[in-house]
Amino acid sequence: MSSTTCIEARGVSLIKWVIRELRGNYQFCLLFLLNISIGLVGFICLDAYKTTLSMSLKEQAKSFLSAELAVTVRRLFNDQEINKIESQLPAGTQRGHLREFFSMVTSKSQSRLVQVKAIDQTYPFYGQMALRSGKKIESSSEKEILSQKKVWVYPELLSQMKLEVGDSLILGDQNLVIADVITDDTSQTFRLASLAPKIYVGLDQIKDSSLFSKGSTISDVFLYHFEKEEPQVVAERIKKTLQDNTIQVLTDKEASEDSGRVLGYLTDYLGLVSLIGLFMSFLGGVYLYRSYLFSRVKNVAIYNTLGLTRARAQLMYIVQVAVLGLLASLVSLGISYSLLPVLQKLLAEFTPIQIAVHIPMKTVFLAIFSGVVISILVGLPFLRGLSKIQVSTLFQEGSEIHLEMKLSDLFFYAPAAVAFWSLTFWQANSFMVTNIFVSAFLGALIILSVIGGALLQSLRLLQKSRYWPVKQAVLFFVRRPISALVSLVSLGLGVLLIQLLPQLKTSIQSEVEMPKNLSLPSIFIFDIQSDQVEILKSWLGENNLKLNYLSPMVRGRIIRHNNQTFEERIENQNTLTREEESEKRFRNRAVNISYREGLAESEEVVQGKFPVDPVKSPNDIAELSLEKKYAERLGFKLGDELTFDVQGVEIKGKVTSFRKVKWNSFQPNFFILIQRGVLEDAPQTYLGALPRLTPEQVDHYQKELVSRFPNVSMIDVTRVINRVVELTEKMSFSLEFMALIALFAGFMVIYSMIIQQTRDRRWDLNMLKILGAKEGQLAQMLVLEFFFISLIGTALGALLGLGVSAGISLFLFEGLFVVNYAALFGASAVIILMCLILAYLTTRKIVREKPAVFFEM
Amino acid sequence: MKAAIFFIFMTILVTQLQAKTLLILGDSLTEGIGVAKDQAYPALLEKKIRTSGKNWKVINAGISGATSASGISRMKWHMKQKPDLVILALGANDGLRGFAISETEKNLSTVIEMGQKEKIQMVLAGMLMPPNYGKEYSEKFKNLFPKLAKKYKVRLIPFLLDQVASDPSLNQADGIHPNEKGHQVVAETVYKNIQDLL
Amino acid sequence: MSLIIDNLRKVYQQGDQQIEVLKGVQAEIQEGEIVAIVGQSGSGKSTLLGLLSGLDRATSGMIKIQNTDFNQLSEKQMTEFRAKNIGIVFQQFHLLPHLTALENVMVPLEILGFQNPEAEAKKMLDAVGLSHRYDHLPAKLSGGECQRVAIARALVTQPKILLADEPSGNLDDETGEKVMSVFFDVVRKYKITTILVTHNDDLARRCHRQLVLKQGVFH
Repeated sequence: MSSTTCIEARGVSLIKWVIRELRGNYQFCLLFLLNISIGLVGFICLDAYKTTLSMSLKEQAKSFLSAELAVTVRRLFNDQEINKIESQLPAGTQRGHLREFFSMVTSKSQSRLVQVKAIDQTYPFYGQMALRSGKKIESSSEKEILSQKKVWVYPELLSQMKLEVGDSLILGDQNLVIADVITDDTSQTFRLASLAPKIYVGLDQIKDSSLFSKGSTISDVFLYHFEKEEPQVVAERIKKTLQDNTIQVLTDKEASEDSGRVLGYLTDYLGLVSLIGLFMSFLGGVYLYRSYLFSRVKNVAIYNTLGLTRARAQLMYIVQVAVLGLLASLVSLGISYSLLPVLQKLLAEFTPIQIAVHIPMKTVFLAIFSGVVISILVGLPFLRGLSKIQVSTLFQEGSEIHLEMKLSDLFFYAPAAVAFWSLTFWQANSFMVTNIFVSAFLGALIILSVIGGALLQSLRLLQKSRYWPVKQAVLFFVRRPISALVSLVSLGLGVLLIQLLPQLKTSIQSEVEMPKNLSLPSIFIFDIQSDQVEILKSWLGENNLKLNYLSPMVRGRIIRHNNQTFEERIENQNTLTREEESEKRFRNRAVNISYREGLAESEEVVQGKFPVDPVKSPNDIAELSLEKKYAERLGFKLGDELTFDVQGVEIKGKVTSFRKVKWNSFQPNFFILIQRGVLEDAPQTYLGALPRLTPEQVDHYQKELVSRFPNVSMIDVTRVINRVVELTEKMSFSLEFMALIALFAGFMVIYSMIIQQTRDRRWDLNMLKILGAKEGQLAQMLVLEFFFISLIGTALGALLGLGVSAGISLFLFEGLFVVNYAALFGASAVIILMCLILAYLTTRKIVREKPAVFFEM
Repeated sequence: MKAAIFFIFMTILVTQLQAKTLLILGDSLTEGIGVAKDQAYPALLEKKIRTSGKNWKVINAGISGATSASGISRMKWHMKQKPDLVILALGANDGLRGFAISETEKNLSTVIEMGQKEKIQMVLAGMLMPPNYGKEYSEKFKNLFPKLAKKYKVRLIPFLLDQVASDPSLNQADGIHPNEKGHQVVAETVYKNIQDLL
Repeated sequence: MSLIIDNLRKVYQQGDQQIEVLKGVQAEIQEGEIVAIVGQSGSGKSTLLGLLSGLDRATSGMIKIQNTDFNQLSEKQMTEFRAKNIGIVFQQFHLLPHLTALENVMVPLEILGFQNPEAEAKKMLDAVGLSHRYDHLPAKLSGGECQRVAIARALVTQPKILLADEPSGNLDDETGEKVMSVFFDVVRKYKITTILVTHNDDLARRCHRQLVLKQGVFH
């Protein structure tokens, strides 16, 4: 026999042994597979979901802007500027041109303010418009308004002007026929609030009209569509070449700031969840593998006597764990692929933009990598233990072969730790996040080991108990400290990870969710004059409507901040950078000051105390409550004194509280609230909102209000609010759903750890039974043992989980942290109960087995 | 004791300053949105008047976004300090929001009548609409101010943003609001038009 | 304390085959008698021990210790009866590895709720010659010492019957000899009815009587 065939034969026999061993321990194999698979399925699905979600969010942001990049100016661009801009664009860029402006349109009977969007053939590069006729308008669609004197209008214009499709409108000097009605429009406008209904016309149809001449206040917009470069990079280049602060350069990033921020939280959260799932499952895997390997120690010794070298024994167990890991990743990939349709459905709820959910290659690779390599790495320290076995102990009659771990063996976890760090980094794509996550995890591990170990050993005090089940339970910890500590730390880490999810979820949700009992508005009414308030209220009352959130608004300038001049003089705006100028202009802007009896539902005081009572005497300095971010931007601190100029009168105030305001509450909120009793007589206007109404009602009241209170302005916010409400609900649901899945996985892992732990105690239980212990006493003993471990592990784990969540919230989610008490106590109680119940059930099961195995057959 | 502070402040101010008072009742153009208070045209105007040796105080009663309707209540409130001259610089926002011209006319008339009843010298600042609002509306809007000036025999500043509007070097990035240099031009325009009334 | 075994049968089901291991074992053992059960591997010795210790139930037949019929006892009563009346010594010692020698011996006393388990256990360890080994864990004891601890544990409650399964089977001859002389000393001293399963003829001969288990019955 040649040497190669000999090696081959050996290889074959090794595989045979591996398979034989695995078959003989199918229970361990199943538990191990279950553990790793749960984690991997969670990881793969969440990763696929996250990747696709962020892709579609990017698409959505592009559809807001309707291109990768837009340049806009509040006048007409000249050719020189266009040349400059386009010289910076990547080759092959497509250009679109649009102009946006307010104008008056006239029908036979009346005229009305509209927001005109004059587009060309390319519009929109992203997103779409739906027309009542059923047409979907995209970049490639044929657009009748381009070649003919036609116009598409928003539905409210028709009802407000009593027009129908087919009627005509005069815009400038053009007579345009209403060809269709826009029912859905994904793009945003280049101006802020939509005061007026939009109409779309062909740019070429009105280009030469008198609308565009000296003094026109229009937004001239060029849209650019390209794929070769990052929009932000191109934008920076253009800004540098232009050196003109009046030209705005926008990318999809700026297009959807607020909802984008929150959706960013969501994807970050999903990334975390998938990592936690993975950590969790490998934690379970480590625990099971350790326990399994301990039960194989004697076999290794026997194999050794039969001529199997230790290295080959180690190799055998490496191959075993790798085979299991590979199996787990393949099973998980299979399950994940079959779950894709469900994910697709879930995602479809979020965004109108359909992107097929797919499992990125990166994820497939990661899944297999983690399955195989990490399985091996986490097994390493134990495998090292194999080489320390004293085979000679086989001959020392009756002595058990032990594989107790030493703390110094922890060193052999280093490769696993490095692998986890890399995995986290690959997933999180940020050094900071990775380091926070990994060090939080390691820190928790150390704290759990030290404090948990100390607490366990403090149970020594009970070892003199005269009641033997207590004594036996305690002696188990005292005599097998590492084993007990491993159980405790694994459980504690499991609880920690389980806690992270609901805690972070609650924090994000508190940001995402709308305040409860909030009545959403349909129409914002502003510019209500003081003497109109009562008339408006009573007219609305006659129509059974209430004017919600009525807030007074007084305009004032901040002139001094702690006796320093606050405003910044600008001598020459050409010497300032764009950012410097806009920051200065921001300071030089007068502010709207309001006052109210108490906080609105959508705001909360985060620092200081809100002034509920009016000022006591006119000489008192009024208390001010500022919105936190606004105060941060301008450098106002608690206790600072601000002096306002209100229509020529100086008013002094002292900052006594900061408020946080929810972005999606749709309530009128103010940066500055002043104590009552100061500005009531100052010139002011009022702002209010009508409650939710049907579209017909919105139309009706808008018309009525215009004719009765011609100076009052209105914004119909139904469309915007519906979209945000929907998005909010979907996000909440998604968070809830993901946390539940991960929680379930966590419980499964802890479940299998407990099962394994009770199985480890099987022999002891049987022995005690033979010695006469009653079933009830044995149950007491084991339940007590688990009670100590689970109580300490869960309590520590939960506390650490809270701490780590707070830390992650601070770094990742801008410090929003809300404790979810239900999850804190609920999940902890469930885990402890689960431990106790499982301990009880296993004792019963084991005790009822026939322990005849103790006699040599 | 509700909200007496304002009134007390007022009386202190009025009694302490022996100067005559010029009140500019306006919108964001007067408020000087985006520029410092002492760089907005009312402050610049005061400086000009004082350098010419006259003791006048100019009160900036500009509120961003204000429409002509707000003029009535604000006029009522400001009349407590008995201004000697009022420049009425409202109406631009009415136009930008597409209000019916008749509505603006009614409001501005009321304010002028209120002032004249109290023997306050009234000055009207004229405004123009950008061409994109359409010829018909812009024309009507433009004619409103001379019409009112004639009816009430008040001094008219033909166009408050004369030489400023649509000049990028005199405006902020939004193309509508004058920058520091623009405000200097506006102050000059106003001064030229009311010099003889002081 | 007499032990009566009457027509004891044990049948195992293996697949669709029935294997009759014990085919009607019959014996009567007097109080204080030391009986050896000898037999080849697979003769059913272990099965018989399982039944005698009450850990397993017979298919038919009866085991009666004094006036207690095993068939009349519930699982719970059996456990209690065993704790009080039956001591067991295993070939593999089967000490609880995380307990010291003293603690191992204390366990049965504690389970039965003895007033002073420590003193009793020490007395018993002294009797098997391990006064100097109270606080050693099994891993630190030699095989012979382990088995002596196991014997002490089995006898510390002063059971009526001692079941011993090849107590020296795992020990070398010299150690086995030492352990067994301690064993015989103690059971004689306490006059305990003893059943010793062994295939060591020397050991068997030192008993009062030998029962040979062959093809499921005593010969």
